[in-house]
Amino acid sequence: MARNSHTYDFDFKWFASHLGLLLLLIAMIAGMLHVCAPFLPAPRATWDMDRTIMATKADLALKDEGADIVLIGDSSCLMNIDASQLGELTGKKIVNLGTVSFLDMKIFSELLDRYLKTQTKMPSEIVLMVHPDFLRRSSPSRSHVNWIHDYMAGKDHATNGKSWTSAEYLFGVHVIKGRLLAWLPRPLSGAFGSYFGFTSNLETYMREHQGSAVDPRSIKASDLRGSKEYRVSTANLRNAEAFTNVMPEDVQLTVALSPTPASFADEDLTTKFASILQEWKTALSADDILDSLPLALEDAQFANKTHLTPEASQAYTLKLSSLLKP
Amino acid sequence: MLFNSDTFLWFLLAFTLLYFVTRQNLSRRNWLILVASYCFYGWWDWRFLFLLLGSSLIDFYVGLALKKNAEAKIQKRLVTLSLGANLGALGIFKYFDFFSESLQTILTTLGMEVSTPMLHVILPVGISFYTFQSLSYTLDIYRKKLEPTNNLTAFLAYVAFFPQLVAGPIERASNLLPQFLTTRKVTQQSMEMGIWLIIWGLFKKVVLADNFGALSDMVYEDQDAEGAIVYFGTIAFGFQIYCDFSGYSDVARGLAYMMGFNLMVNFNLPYFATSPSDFWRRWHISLSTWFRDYLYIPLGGNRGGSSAMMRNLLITMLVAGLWHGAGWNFVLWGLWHGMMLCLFPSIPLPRRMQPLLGWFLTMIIIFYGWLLFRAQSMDHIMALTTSLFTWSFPLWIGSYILNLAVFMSPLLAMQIWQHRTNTIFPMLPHNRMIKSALMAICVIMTTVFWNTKGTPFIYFQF
Repeated sequence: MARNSHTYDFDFKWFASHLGLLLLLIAMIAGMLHVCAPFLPAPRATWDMDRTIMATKADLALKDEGADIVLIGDSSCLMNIDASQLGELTGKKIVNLGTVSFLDMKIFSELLDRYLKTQTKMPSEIVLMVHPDFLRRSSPSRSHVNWIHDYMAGKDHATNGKSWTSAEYLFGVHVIKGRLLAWLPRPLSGAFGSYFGFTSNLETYMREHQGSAVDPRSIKASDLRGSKEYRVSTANLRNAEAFTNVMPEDVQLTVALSPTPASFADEDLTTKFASILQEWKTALSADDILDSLPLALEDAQFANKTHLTPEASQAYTLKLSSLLKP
Repeated sequence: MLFNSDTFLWFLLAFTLLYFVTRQNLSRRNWLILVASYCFYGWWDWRFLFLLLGSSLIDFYVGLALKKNAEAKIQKRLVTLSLGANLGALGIFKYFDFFSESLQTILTTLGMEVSTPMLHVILPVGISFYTFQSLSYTLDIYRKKLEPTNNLTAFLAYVAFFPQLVAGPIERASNLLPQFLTTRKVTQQSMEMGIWLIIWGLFKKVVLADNFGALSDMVYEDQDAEGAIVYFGTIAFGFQIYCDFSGYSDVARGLAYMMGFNLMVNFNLPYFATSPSDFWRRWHISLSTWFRDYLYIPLGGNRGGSSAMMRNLLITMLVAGLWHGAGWNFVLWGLWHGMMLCLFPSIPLPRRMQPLLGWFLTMIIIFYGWLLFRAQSMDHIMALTTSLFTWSFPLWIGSYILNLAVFMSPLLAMQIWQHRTNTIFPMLPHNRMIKSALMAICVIMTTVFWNTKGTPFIYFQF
C-alpha cells in the first residue's frame, strides 16, 4: 500500500480563514486607495525618463510662457536644440515642447492645442522638427499615448495589456504609483543616470532649458543602428491634418527635419529629403521649410541614430538660430 | 524561471493543484517534485538538464557503490570520481575560459604571443549550488556520516528540488534527503511561516533589492564615479545583494515549508555582525558551513597553531571567493575576507565599546568587500578605491540619499524587530489581524514594483 505523502496538523478551515483574511485586507486597502484617490495629490507617475519628459512637457504647455517661437516634435527636437541657447542667440523667447519619438502627430497637436489655449499672447512661429525616422513610423507606442492622454486628463493610469493589468488596477497600484509615491525621484539608468541623476533632476534641467534636454550617451559609429529607408508614412500624412487644425491662422508654421548620421545617408539624400520635406509641408499646409539645416552630419556627432551629442547640439542650435533670426 | 515573474506564479499554481491531487502517495509526490523541478530548470535552457541529470546519476551510483565496496582504495577512487565529475563540470563551464584568459595575459606580459584555447560556453544557472549539494551526499557517505539511498526518484528530486535548485540554500543530504523518504508533516505554524517567508522574500527582492540595484548601478556602471557617491553606491550594493539573495532564500524556505519540507536558515541578520567571523556565521550560512566542513576542517581547521589556522582560513576564503565567480575581483574579495578573519581578532578594542566599535569596523570591512565584489575589473577597483579618498558630491546626492533611506527603512524596521525579539518570525505571536495587515501591505507594495518578466537574482550567475 502506498505511503501517505503528508500528515496535516491543521484543518483547512483554519487555512482558508487565514488566507481569506489576507485577501480581505488586501481588498480593503485597495478599496481605500480607490475611494481616497480623488483626495490625494494629482497623479504624476513619472517613474522613468519617457514619462518624466511627457509630464514635464504637458505641464510646460499649461504655463503662460508668452514665447515667440514654439518648437515641437519628437525626441530629436527635444535633444538636438537647446531652447535657452537659441533664445539668447535670437533674442526671442523660445519654448521647446519636443517630447519622445514614441508619440504621434495627434499627440503633438493635442500638446500644441493645450499650450496655445493657455497663452495670452500667441507665438509668431511654430517650428515642427522631427527626425526622418519618425516620419516613416506608422503607429505610435500605445502605452506612451495612453499614459500622456491620462496625464493630460488628470486621470490615474493603470498599465494596459498582459496579465497584471487587472491586478494592478484592482490592487490600486496605479494610485500608489501616481499619487502616493510620485514625490520620490527615480534613478535614471546608464549615461542618463550619470549625467542627470534622477527623474527630478532631468525635470529641473528641462525647466531651466526652456524644455530642452541633451542625450549624454556616446556611441561608436559601428554601433549605430537603424534603417536607411526614408519616407512619410500614410499614418503621419493622415494625422498631419489634426496638427493643421490646431494651428492659429496668423501663426507661421515651419517644418524641419533633424539630421541623420552620414553613414545612414545615401548619395541621393538631398533630393530624397527635399521631396520628403515638400510632401510633409503640403500635408501640414505649412508656411515654410527650414531646408538650409544640415540633413546629415558626421557619425561622431551622434549619441544615437536620432540624437546629437551635447556638443553637436550646441553647434546645431547655433545653425538654427541663424535661420530663425528676422 | 524566476520566482519574481508571472511565469513562476502560473507554474506554482499548476504545481500546487497537482501537489494537492497527489497528496495520498509519497512516491507520486516525489515524482511530481522531480518533474516540476526539471521543468523549472529546463525553462531556462533544457540542454543543461542533461548536466543536472548526469551529475545526479553519478553521485547516486557512487553513493551505492561506496556502500557495497568497503575497501579504502576503491572508496577513494569512487569519491574521486564524484569529485572529478562535479568539479570537472564546474571547471569546464565556469572556470576554463577564466584561467585560459588569465594564462594568456600572463604569457603576453612575458612577451610570448600565445593564443590559449577558449570554450565560450554559457554558464549553467545554479551549477555551483547543485554540484555542491550533490557532492555533499557522496562526501558524507564516504565519511560514514550518511547511509546512501536506493530511491533514485527521491535522490534526483533532492538534487533538483526547485525551491532551492538555482541559488540555495545548499542543503546537506543528511537534512533534506530523509525528508523525501518519509511522510512529511505540515503544521499550522509551518504554513504560516511559509506564507510569510514567500511574501517577505518577494518584497525584499522586488521592492528593496531591485531599487537598491538601480541605485548601485548608477555608481558602478559609471566609470567616472568618485567621492561620496562611491560610499553611498557601495552601501546600496551591500543592501541590494543582501535583499536579493536573502529574499531568494526566504522564498525558497517558504515554498519548502508549505510543501512540508524544512530547509536550513541561510541568513541571520548579517549586518548586525560584530566581527568578520560573526558575519560568516550569519551570511550565506549554507555555503560557509559547507566550506567549513568540507574544506577548512579537512585542511586542519584550527589545529596546528595560529599560522596553520591563518593559512587554512586564507585558502578557504580564496576558494570561497572563486566559487562566487570566475574573476580576479572575486579572488580578491575572498582574500580580503580571509585576511580580515585572520587580523580582526588582534585588533584591540576597548571592552565597553567592543560591540559598537566591533560592529562599525566589521561593516567597513564587509562593505569594502562589496566594492571589490561589485567592481568590473581590477582597474575599476583601483579607481574606486582611490576615489574613496576624494570628497566631491554630484548634484543629485540628495535624491540618492532619499532613495536609500526610503528603501532601507522597512528593512531596518523589520531587522531591528527580529534582532530585539531574537527570532526570524517576530510577528508570529501577534494576533491574526496584525500579521495579515503586515502581509497585505507587503503584497500590495510588491505589486507596485512588480516587473512581469522579473529581474534576475544576482546569485543566479554563480
